[in-house]
Amino acid sequence: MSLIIQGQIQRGECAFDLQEEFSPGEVVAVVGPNGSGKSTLLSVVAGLLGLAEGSMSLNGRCLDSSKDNVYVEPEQRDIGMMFQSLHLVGQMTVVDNVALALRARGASRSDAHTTAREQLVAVGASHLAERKASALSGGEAQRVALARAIAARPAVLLLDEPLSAIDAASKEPLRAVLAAVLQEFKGITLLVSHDSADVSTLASRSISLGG
Amino acid sequence: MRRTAKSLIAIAVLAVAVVAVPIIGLFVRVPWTRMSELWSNDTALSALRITLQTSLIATALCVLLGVPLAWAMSNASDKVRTLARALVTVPVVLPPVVGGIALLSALGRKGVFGGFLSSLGISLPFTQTAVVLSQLFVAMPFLVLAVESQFRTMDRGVIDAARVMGFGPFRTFTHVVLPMTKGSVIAGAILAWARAVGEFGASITFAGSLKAKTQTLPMAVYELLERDWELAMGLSVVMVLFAIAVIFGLRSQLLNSGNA
Amino acid sequence: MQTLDTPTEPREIETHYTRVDRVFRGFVTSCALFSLVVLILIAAFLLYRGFEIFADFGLSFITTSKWDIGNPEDTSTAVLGIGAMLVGSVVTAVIAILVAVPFAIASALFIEFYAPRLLRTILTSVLDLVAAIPSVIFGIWGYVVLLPLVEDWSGTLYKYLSWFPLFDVQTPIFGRSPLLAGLLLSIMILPIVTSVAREVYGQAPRDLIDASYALGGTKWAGIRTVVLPFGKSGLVGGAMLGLGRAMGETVAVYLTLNLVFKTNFQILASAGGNVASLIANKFGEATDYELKALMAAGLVLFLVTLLVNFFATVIVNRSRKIV
Repeated sequence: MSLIIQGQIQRGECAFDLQEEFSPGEVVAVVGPNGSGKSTLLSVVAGLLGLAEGSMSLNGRCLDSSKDNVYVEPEQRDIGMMFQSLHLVGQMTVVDNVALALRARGASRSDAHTTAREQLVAVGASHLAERKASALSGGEAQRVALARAIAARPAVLLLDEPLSAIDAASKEPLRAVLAAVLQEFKGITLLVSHDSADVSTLASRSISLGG
Repeated sequence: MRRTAKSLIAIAVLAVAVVAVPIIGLFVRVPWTRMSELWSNDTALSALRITLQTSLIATALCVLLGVPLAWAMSNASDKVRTLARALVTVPVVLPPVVGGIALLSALGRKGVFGGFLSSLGISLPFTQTAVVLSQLFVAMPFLVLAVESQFRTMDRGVIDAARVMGFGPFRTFTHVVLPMTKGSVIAGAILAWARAVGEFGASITFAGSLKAKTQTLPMAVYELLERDWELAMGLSVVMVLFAIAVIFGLRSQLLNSGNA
Repeated sequence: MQTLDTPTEPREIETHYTRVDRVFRGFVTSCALFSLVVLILIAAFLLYRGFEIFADFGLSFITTSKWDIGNPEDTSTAVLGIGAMLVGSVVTAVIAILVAVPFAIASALFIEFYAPRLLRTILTSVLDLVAAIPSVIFGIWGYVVLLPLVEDWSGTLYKYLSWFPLFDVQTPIFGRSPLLAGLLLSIMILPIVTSVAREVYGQAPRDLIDASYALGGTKWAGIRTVVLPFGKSGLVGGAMLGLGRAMGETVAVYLTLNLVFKTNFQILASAGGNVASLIANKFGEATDYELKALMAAGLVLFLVTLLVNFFATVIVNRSRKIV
């Protein structure tokens, strides 16, 4: 039961080979300089980008294979992702944003809202539930995006710079929230980060790109 | 220098006055005492009914066809989009009366498709369907261009996010994209509706001005002008009030969606 | 990271959508294709129908000024030419532009740089309102309210300026003249020209304006030295958009300009017409052959407005790219 990537990843000028197996419960930090393909790796796992060559499987199910011409669309993979630029739906309330992830996996409207509220409590954002997402501060939005990524309990959680772009004061509490959330999470976590402090406090191991 | 700025203000105020005067002028010249006659006047009433009927159908069709078109355009490659946008703009730059003539030449009894249609027992010209088609032709670009630019300027990353969450392309569109762009879709529809209601040139050529059949408000105003210009003015005021309502609707819609 | 010597081409990825997504895809694509094909067909039919007239009359269709069907049974007796109407389209549209552009510049500058928030909202609402009012209403207003005023003004102009060919008339009857139609059109195109001017001026580099302000200049000095030169080409584009709109106007011109088949440059004289109002006017009782001629006239107008708008778009786009 694991995520196995054996292949070549390529976007634009950046191309590299990767042979890696990730197990449930692991928090793997993906590190490397800018342009080394950290975000590209997450896109490939999420299904927003195909492998240039090779194959990828999750829990024994083939997600992407250049040889057998298999490509599973992102919506048919069991993945949660927190984007670097978050991509919350500004026109919706916070609870609706989080509920989206559950609705997408087939939950009824009321179930989705109940679970979404629980998840918001877990990230310390329950007081924001009825706020419009466009009216959030940077740190608040990051909590909500985290809640949305993990709400449906995906097999793989992808976090792209989850602690970037906030001031130092709000960074510590957010890191604590993230640590607590990841402690509970049973799936595989891939964490892209620049910050060695994040890597050492949150990750169980790390892989390095472009080194 | 001060004086230049002041004269600028004077000209600007004059410009707005120039624009506002027709509206005010109309209200002043309207025979208010005869306004009640409008409600017992067959021409006015049937024109009002036909206008509402056709313009609402045309607006619904605009949304039904135009929103998917705008979505397809916003996802197309740059080349295709430029071409599509040029085509969509044609009815905007095309004088409506030419549009009507073109519709007639395509779908009229002796038109290129008309022969085929009449062999099916369908005759479009001088029917309410023709009115709806004319309005659709003239109004749709306004909706498509407004909505397409919104589709392009919204946070496109949300589409990726929705796919990863588990929404397929269709549900991404209905559950995420439409809620995000609802404001401009509604604003575009209001704009298209205003165009459809005021449409004259294309309808008069393709649908004619048949009383109680294809005669809409603008055509009725035009016809009444020759017989009873006081009533025509009265009917005009009805249409101006409608336009004012439309603008207020648009403003509040745009304010709600935060685009104003 | 091993940078590979020969990065492979991205492989073809086959997508496997669920049924509802395939249906959605099909629906979106067919809506788009349907709308676009209809538009192409309409342009094509106009071309196709109009060409017979050009085959019969050649260029004289746009240079001569006569509309005589002759014997309805025998199309060879017809003499048709829209020269006067084309001239009328251009004359009224040019009057409209000359009057509208200064007002549009002033309004745009005022709204962008001087007006307090509330006033700005009111002004833009009024302009939007004008854009939303059907043109038949303007026609009526022109006929009922503006006509007597312009008759007065025309009398004065004629009295003092009739030595100038533009303001001369054979008989001093001023009624529904190109001047009246042009003035009416200028009001109708004011919103579009103003909104383009606003968009262009809004993109002027604010820091340069502020710099000129900081150097002790007035706001107006900043506008004159920065904004106006910056917005020049964009404004030309906006004016041409207005020109295209004015040339295509039907009912307002129909009501305020006497349709006479005579090339008329005397803007006070009660004679003229434009192509669009010709079509609306003759359309009702047209014979088959005449209908084809009207379609040909439509085609000419279509091509002229397309050309004007094409240049307008090119100019506006170029002014955008500089930013």
